[in-house]
Amino acid sequence: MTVFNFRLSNFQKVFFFVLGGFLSGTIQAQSFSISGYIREKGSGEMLGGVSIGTEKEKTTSNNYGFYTFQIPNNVKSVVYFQSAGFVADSIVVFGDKDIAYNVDLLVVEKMEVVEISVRKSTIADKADMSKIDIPVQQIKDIPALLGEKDVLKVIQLLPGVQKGGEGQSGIYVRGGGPDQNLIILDEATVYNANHLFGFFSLFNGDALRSVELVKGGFPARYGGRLSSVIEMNMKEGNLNKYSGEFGIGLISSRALIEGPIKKNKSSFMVSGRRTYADILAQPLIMAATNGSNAGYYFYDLNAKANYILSDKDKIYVSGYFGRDKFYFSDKQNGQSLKTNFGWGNRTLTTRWNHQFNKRTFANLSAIYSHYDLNIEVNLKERNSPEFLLKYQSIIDDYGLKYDVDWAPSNKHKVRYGVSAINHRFQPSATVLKLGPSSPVNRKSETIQSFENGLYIEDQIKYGRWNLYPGLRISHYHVEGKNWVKPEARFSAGYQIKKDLAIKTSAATMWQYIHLLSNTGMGLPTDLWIPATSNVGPMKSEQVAIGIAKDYKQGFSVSLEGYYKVLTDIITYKEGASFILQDDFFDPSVPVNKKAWESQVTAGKGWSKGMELFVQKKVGKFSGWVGYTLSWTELQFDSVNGGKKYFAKYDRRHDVSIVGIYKLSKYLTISATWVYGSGNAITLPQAVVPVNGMYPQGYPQVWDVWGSSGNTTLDYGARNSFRMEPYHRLDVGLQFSKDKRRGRETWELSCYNAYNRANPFFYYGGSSPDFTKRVLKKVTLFPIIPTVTYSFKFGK
Amino acid sequence: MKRFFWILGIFLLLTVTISSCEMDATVDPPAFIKKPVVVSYISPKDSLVKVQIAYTQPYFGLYEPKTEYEKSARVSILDVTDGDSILLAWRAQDSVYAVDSFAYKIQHAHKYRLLVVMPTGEQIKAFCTVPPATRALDWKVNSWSFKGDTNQFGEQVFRWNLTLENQGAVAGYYYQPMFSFLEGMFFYEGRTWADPGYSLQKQGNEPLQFIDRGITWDMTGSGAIGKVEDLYLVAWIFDQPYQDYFRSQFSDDGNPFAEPTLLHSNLNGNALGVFCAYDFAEMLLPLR
Repeated sequence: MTVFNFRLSNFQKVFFFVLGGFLSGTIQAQSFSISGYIREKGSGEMLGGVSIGTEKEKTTSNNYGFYTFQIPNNVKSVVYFQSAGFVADSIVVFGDKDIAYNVDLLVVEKMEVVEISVRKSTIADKADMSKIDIPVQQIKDIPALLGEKDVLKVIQLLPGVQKGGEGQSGIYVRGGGPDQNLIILDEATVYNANHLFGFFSLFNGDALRSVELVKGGFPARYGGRLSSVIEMNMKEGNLNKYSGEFGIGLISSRALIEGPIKKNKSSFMVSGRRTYADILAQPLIMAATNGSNAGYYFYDLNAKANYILSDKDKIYVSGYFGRDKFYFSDKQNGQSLKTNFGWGNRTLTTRWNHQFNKRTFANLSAIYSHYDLNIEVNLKERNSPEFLLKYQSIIDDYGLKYDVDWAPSNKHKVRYGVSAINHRFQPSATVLKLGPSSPVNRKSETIQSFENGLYIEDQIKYGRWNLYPGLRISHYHVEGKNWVKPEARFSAGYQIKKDLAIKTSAATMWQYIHLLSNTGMGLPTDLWIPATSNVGPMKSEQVAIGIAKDYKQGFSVSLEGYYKVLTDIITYKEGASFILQDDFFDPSVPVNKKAWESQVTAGKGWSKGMELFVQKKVGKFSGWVGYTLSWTELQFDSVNGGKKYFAKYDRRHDVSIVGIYKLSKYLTISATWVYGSGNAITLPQAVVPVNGMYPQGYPQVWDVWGSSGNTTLDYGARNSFRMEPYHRLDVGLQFSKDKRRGRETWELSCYNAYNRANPFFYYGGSSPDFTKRVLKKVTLFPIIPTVTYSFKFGK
Repeated sequence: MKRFFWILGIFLLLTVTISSCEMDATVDPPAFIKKPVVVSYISPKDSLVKVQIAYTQPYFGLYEPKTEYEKSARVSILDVTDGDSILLAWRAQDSVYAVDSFAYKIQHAHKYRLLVVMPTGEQIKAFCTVPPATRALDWKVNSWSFKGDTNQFGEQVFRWNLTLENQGAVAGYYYQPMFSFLEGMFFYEGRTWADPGYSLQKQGNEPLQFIDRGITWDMTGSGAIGKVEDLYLVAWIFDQPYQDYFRSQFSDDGNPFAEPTLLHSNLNGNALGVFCAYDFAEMLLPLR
């Protein structure tokens, strides 16, 4: 069966009108091109997002550092190349022949403040909105929990992005759930971006070259998720010399090495991180527990290599390999217990860049992504039957992607492409052995689905207008059913003045996979499942309007309002659970891919809000202030009696202030302060007496209550109780010293500096005299000081 | 470097001193709103038609508060199908409003209305329909196998399979079988309410399958089990409000991973509880 849905909404009609009108715009005649690659001086690392232009016009380099720019024939022009954190460069051009020109930009040293004579790259002269790129150096400068620099935790500090619980890496963008974020590392989707049950993310910053968050006004090249795109690219490796870095922290150590395989032709980068709490704690655990062996660790390995085949062709191979493992074993008094709990991601991306001509650049990517979760419990007791439980959940993605950048003129920057992904989900495979009988194997079918996309987008400059229309056609195939959905995207900016613009955007997104989560904490047991013929895909429609202003002092200010509607989102029905569900081990319930389908219900969500973002990226003092005012409501037929309720992470006010001040070349101080209104949770409010009022003769009904079978609980409405507001101050001090072989850096940081007892969860406890039930708040992290040491060499 | 370690030492000392604070604190609980709780199950098999009216009590507070019953309400039941109504009287010994089933007969397939007028004047209303009678003829054992063995501890271990079909199922009602084929051992499929009839919410006449179930039988004192010839079945039937109310109660079974379940109520206003109907039949089915 095929579902074709091509009925156009009013928004889509307007979109096609605008797209058609502007694509017919003139291709710049009587001009020549200057094109090439922009690299970091020294390392040869390709630089994306660099602004290239004259006083009148400008463009930017793509993710692979490629740029092309049109110059009028026989007009003397100065072309500038400029990016935050780099010393600007320029070239004077004149003539009528195309020029190939590669640029090497020098990194700005910590204390240097570079005054740039040309008009700076500003947010006011771009069409796109709701998009933030975060300098990787800022990620490293911001103080972090236990000194673990974490990209997702920094993203949580941006307006419109909320964290889940205390210390958690899960992110909630404009009311969307953690599954609605497309997290891409070198074009590969990362399904579970968390380590240590969500307290740290997979991305430590050392291996990253760029981080970008898009939370609205999505370019058409992105698809498959409703709420945000977090795109990260790994470093490519130094083409000229070997260099590296290592760091020693409280819970983990990390190292990175990069260098040429063949100078100026090929390079590599390898970065690794591992926690060592298990190694340090193991002797103590064994001593304290009379021989038990327990521990937990995680590791990450990022690797990348590239080869320059010719001036026009480059090949990249990159991969991520990471795993978490918890283990426990105990053997005493004739009893043996062995538990293993592990999960991990693997990605592999191979890319081929090809420059067809001065105006056309293409990239072909082959992508593999894997996620698995394994649980094993084995209990053997003398004179008792053996208990064995093995559980496994696996996702494999195989993808191909082809993107073309075509710049017919400085007024048009067209990008189009096609992508295809084969998803293979195995939601659960369980082996259960209870007693002397042979093990019961309960393996769900592997669900294969295909997710394809075809897109075109154009960045158009038209007078004072910056327009960014795009169209994506997404196709999804599963179980013989097809969905073909047009996804219109549009952003527009109107420059009132050179440094002041109003902007608007609209986007429709479809998502063909779901995440079933009981906790919303990003636990590895959260279950990724594909849209099926019974539980269809989700959709979001978002509109935003905003104003952007640049200031001479290097500040940029943006104010945005948004409204988003989520349709066919799913959640567990009340009382349902992936873990410990009634029929989980029941062999009589047919085991198939649909076992979870009866546990879920589909509904709608609404999110609206306003975001203020004041940012300063360069200079001695950098950082940002973000404020979000938002409302997020959900409605499901089978939840809360079908009435609307606030989402768990609905947050009325969310504030983040980030400041980094470079006192000298060797000394940096930084601080962050965050505030968030309390999460909405469901708590029992009343005891409902039912004192023996059960049907006559219905035996053993009361077993479920145990000894207190005379009452049940009233929770009131769903998520009707608010936790206390959250706020926290983190401070950090970095001091560096040049050594003969490199530069060492000590970092002293303090998480939760004023020791705020923020709520992690609530539970019903007892009063000191054990006569009353009281509500108790558990705080996870008090003030935590951290010292880390790192050393960079070869730079 | 020496100075650095001094600073670090003082910093750590201060931090440890400050951070040794209460990590588990008592906070203000949610505001309590007192609600009436009205509970009544009616069945043609019951000897009394009962309605209980009580009030909710704060969850955060005394562990075992005394139940507060409402004794001054006006409680009536109306048979909507034939228009017959009755006023229920307060029975202090059970803390319920009741009437004898000889005085007011609950009939299969009739629709009933409960009306409670509280002393405040608030009216609480609900409706339910009594299920049609379930008959022994409707129930059938489609397949049955039973295989015994002895385990390493000398106990009898049985593997059994059963397919049970209800050929007289009526749409809109829920069916739950409870059965026994060994004297004294009832089977409710794991936990009481987790049998297929309940967890799969079976309404129709889909066969209920019990596949590869196991029983371990300690023969000490009771001797070995011989041939199994009959299935003793108690077939229950109940209406939608009953299903919804019980599902919401039993779903909240303490599973920390499960979403909390809000208590279902088919009463109007802010009253909690249920007015629902059920029936059951006992029978002996041959196992072939």
